[in-house]
Amino acid sequence: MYKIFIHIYALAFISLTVHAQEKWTIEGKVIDKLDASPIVGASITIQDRNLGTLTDKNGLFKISSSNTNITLSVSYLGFLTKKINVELPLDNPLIIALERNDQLLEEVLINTGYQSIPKERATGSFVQIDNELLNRRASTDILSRLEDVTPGLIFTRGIGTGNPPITIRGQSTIQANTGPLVVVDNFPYEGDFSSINPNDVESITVLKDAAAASIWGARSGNGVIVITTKKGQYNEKTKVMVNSNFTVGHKPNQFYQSRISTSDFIEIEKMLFGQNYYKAAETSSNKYPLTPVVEMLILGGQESEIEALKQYDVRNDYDKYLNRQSLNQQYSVNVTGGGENQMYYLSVGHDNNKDNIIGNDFNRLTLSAKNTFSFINKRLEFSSDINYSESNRTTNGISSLSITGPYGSSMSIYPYARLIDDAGSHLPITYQYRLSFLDKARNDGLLNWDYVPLDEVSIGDNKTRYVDYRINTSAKYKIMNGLIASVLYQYTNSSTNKRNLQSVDSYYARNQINRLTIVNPDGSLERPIPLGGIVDYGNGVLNSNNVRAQLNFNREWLELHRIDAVAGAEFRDQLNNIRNYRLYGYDEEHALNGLVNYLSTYKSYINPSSTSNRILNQDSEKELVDRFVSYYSNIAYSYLNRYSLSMSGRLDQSNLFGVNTNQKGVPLYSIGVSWNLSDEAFYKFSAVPYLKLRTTFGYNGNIDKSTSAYVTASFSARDTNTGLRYATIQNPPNPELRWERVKVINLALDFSSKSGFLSGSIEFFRKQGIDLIGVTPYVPSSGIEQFKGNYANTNGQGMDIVLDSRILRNKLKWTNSFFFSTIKEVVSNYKQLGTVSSYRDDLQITPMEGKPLYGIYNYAWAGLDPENGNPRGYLNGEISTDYAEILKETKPEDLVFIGSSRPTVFGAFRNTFSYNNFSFSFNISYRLKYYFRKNAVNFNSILKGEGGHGDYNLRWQKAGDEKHTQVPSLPTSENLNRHNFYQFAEVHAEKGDHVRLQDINFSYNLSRKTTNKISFSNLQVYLYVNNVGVLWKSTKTNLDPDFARSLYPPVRTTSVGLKFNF
Amino acid sequence: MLFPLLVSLSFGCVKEFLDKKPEKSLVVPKTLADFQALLDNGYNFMNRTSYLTQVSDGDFEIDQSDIHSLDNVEKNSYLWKSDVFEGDVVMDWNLPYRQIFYANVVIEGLENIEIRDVNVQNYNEVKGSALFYRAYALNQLVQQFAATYEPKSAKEILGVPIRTDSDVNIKVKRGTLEGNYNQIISDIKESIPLLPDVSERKTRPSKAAAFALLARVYLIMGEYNLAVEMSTNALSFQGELIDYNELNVSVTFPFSNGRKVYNKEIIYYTDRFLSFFYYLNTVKATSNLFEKYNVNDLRLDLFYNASFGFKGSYSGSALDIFTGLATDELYLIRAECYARTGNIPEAMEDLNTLMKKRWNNSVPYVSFEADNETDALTIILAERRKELVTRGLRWSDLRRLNKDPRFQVTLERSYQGEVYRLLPNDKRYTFPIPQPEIEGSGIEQNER
Repeated sequence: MYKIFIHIYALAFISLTVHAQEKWTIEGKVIDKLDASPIVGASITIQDRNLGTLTDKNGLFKISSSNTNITLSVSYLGFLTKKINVELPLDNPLIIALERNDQLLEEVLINTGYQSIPKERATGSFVQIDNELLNRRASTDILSRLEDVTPGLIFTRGIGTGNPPITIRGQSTIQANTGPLVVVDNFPYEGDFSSINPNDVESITVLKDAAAASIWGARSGNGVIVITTKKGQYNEKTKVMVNSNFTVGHKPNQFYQSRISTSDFIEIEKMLFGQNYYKAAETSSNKYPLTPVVEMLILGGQESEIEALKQYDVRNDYDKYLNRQSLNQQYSVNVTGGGENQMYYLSVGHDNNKDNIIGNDFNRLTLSAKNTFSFINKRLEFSSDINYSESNRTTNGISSLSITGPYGSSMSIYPYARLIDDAGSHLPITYQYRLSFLDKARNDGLLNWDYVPLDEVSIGDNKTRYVDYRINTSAKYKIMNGLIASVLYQYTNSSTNKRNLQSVDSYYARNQINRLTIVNPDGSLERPIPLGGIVDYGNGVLNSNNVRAQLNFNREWLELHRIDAVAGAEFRDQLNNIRNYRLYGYDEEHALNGLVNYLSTYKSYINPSSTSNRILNQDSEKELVDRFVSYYSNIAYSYLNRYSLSMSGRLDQSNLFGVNTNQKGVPLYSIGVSWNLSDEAFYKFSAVPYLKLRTTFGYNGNIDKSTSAYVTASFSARDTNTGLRYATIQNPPNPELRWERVKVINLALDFSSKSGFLSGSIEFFRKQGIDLIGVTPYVPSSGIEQFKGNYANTNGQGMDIVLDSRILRNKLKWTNSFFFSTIKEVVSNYKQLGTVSSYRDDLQITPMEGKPLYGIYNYAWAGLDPENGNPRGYLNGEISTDYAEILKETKPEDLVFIGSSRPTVFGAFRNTFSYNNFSFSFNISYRLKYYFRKNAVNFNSILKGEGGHGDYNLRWQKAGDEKHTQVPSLPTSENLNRHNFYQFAEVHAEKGDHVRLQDINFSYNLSRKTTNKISFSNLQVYLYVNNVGVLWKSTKTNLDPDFARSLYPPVRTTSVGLKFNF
Repeated sequence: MLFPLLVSLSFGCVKEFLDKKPEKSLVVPKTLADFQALLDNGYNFMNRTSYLTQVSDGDFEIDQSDIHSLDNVEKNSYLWKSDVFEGDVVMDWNLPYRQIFYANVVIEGLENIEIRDVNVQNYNEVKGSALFYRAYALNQLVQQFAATYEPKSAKEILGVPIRTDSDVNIKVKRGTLEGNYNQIISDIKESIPLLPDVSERKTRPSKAAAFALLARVYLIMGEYNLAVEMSTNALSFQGELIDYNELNVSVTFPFSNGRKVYNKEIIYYTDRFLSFFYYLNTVKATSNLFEKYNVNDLRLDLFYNASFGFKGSYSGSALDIFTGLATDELYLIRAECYARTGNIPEAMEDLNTLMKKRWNNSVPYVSFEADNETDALTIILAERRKELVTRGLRWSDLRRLNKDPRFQVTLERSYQGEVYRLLPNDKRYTFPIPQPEIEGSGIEQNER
């Protein structure tokens, strides 16, 4: 690659000749039209000559020209650019009054990551989130600031979400990458999003359709989020911006999910004890624990003692001793400025977060330094940016406790557990083994085997350090007017260093050591795992090198034709290396570790008949390489600024696809047109002075790394009989493997009413996923029964409506932003049917032709049996309680499909009021037309003494109950089929529709007008409340529809902050 | 100016740049050792054979009360129903084709390996093995899914699809039975010069195995002279027989673990896919089988337990039943072929060589004798059935012997008051082709 650089440097030294001619001087002053105050630092350029100057502290400027007829362009941030024709020589100095730009449809430059396009000429579907809107929210991370302000973009919530948990206009893929591509400073970002300091971000552009995103080629199918960071400006006085805030969050609501009451739990334990359920467990060879009540019952304990336990609920202890109010502190300072030939941006950010689970903390330091130098009259520009981010995450907290049940399965902790006694001492809980066994171990001289949750939190030392570097360098050379060549290079290095030291005091280490300890006949102990801590390291390094060479061409002819074009080539090489290893017998003080024998087998101390136990080996390594070579071009032509035509194309080659596909190439392209209808002479509709139509068509791509074009095999250990190593083919040869494509059609209308009272856009889109990677049955004589390849399709359509209104524009200003998005997406051309259980599970995608990717499928529900409260379903059309047959006979297509589990209609409604220096805004979001499944009481767990859902209390108990409850009776014995039927029956599906007051922002701004001394100064104090509450929901349950099966919904947080610039 | 330069500069190295494996641990089989490892995947499927033919062949039966607990495929096979699979996929079809697929992957992969002095022997062994696996699998398929071979009509009878390319996208039609047999024979013949004389591990093919397989195929085709020649060739590499007097009848499994130890009769080891039918407690040899053993025949106690369940597999296991090639089969093939070609003395000598090793040596051995073809064949075929029980050969024997009125057999079962019969030369002697195959490649279904 260095050859390219040499070439660029050589170009830079071509000298430029300037012809000397007669010159006239133009003098003038630039003022604010509103109050005639001088504007300092306004830029004046002579058009087509590339000559310019700035106004001084009095707003005065001087510029010379050799032409007699020139056009001056005068611009300043926040003002409308003015162009004036001047005939030289001049008699008097010019007075140029600039108009403040407070129109809504201001000239917005949209950054696609490859070029900046003015919105008025754009044909594609973009959403630009400007700095002000980004800063409305207070948060540690950047991406959450897109939530509820971006039409077409929705956050997936609750459990089973992706990373980032974002979908843009649906998800046109099944198995491949589901998240949008995130681009930071011109290149795809694959590090941890939490390492980006939001205060460094200038704006975010979301690219939604083909014209917008196809420039990103093979990875743009799910939309692209382009994050542009702040940088300096030429000729800008040094500006310092400080932002600091504190965010306090409530404790989580431990009582959000209903659980069986302590008293019911104990009564069931008593009942089970009476049925001798625990009899076999008492002599368990694995020494499984029995809960305190059962132990008391075995000992024939006092009824009153047992009764006394009914007053406790462990969730109170969670709340008191495991949870706290969260506190996030954020500090950020950045400095920008620039001279004639140089500009810079420096920033420091620090975050310090205390999570609402005690023991979990996060802190982050970010540093950023950017410099740009220009030479040869700004024809050549070099810039270099260095971004550094270091975060440390500590996870020693306990969010919930699970213990081993009487027969070895995992269960939630018994509800009467106490973490601390009345005297304030930390208490052990019944955890993995019976108390009597622990006593025996103590007598044998083994390490203490108690599990004391609160001690574990303080003993824990589990840290993850994440360091992210990003270095960008670029050179830009203006070959001639309108033609710029540039080379960009980016190096990134993200490393994750996880170190989990579980010292010898930790339960984990003690348990590992004890479990294999050998007690010799003479009473001495042998420890195959040496005494000491156990430390786990996990190191991941993600390294990428990106090089891009690009030509930009922008030219206007006769004020009629305009061409904006880019073309370039790009290389990307990314290496991901992951290593995990573990040390035993670790001595923290001296960093020494003991040796263990991974090959030998040992007798279990717990269960002496289990003799083939090995010491856990946690060492592994993995290396992944992604390589891309891409060629792209994007050309936009506009005529009279009224008609625009855009075309883009991209060809990607990658090491993922193999030779055939690379050779053939699958170009991704788009075409778009736009028409500023309101510019036409025949357009007379004065109520809507701005009306633009635009439409695009094209293809985006997506990648699935889980499959390969090559024949791949996995090697197994030696066959125990033959002693031979053998291999199994994992992936049959698939020379035809290619990336998924998404065909997108977008049709849009932009409008603005008179004086900007109402403006907005309406967009309709169709998104068709083609050649999606799916599994399809294959002719068995081929040697395989099914095959993962480019088979499935999806069909999506929807719309995005955006309405911005400025309702009041007096002293009291009231603006409203409203958006409404819909998405309807179904799978097509998919012949494979999954199993019934894969459809029941609404967290995994199992495609079914004609249905959305994420759906809620249920067994048909026929209510409770009035005789005995058994749940009833249908078997061959008849009401039945033969659960085994119902489960067996119900085919996927017989399941009752209720609807999508992801919102198909969503949007938000944001109101902002401002009066003098006060500003108040709140955002109401809504999500409609979707369903969720709530948790069900599991009578099987209840009959296993493992507790369960609080619906137990609502169960059918006597005839007639079926009229007011849908919760079945307690069966006389465990019946897994009954539970599986009930859990996935229609009765648990609920409508998810709801409206929530997402957040409130209140701010006080103190700004001073431009004076001679200080160029700008602004002070803002703000209060921000997030997750305010659900205003309306369709479901009658107390569940938050987006977090129906989460332990608890996100807590309400309140931030106070201060921002000032000088 | 810059752009074309960059493009021209980059094209040269792009191919290498993109040749990098996306994941280090992905094994793209490339070396001889990799290919050998693919073929050594024996336990999972490379060395496995059909199980449904053994449910259908009438040698074993279960209590009527157990029939309902069989899955549909085994139940239908047991009762010779017309529709056996009811739309299901079935291992008997899929796995031999997977063996063929692996063999094809290996054969194609070998083309990219340079043959040098140091690797030529290894190369030949891998290639010969792959060819042998392909032939062995195709022969399995033909015995189950194509009609019985008849020299006169083999050109007209539909065979099974022949796959010689690993590309899974290719769809292959059925072709003729003659084509199938030609493919089997040419693959074996091509493998013979490449394979070692005998192989140390019997899960891998050898010259002895290739000749033995040829003998088996020629017997089915009625090429008796060739079958004699091939079995003689095979026996010249490996011809020993176990003296059953040396075995202990009282142990659970009298024969050693066939996958590991290999008794001296095993030439090539394969075993039967797991069958639920044979897993049932009540499965036992039918009376018309076990009643045929003489009291002095050691096989009665070595092969069967007290309730006539089978314990005598050369696999030394109750579940994985040996179905490979062994020397005892070769003696029986040669004896039968000698008899069919009129050489009665040689035929009876081969039979007696085998039977002496099966006879209780505490009583005097009386040689089997015959003076005409029918008598000789009657004796030899009876011993063949008794000796090769559970070897997976009975089905193909029934098919070919039913063509001869002298040796026709009608099979019979009862279930729920109904009597099920499989008459000689019934169409149901050819299994139907699984529905997914019919739908996927549009080939013709067998009439049942």
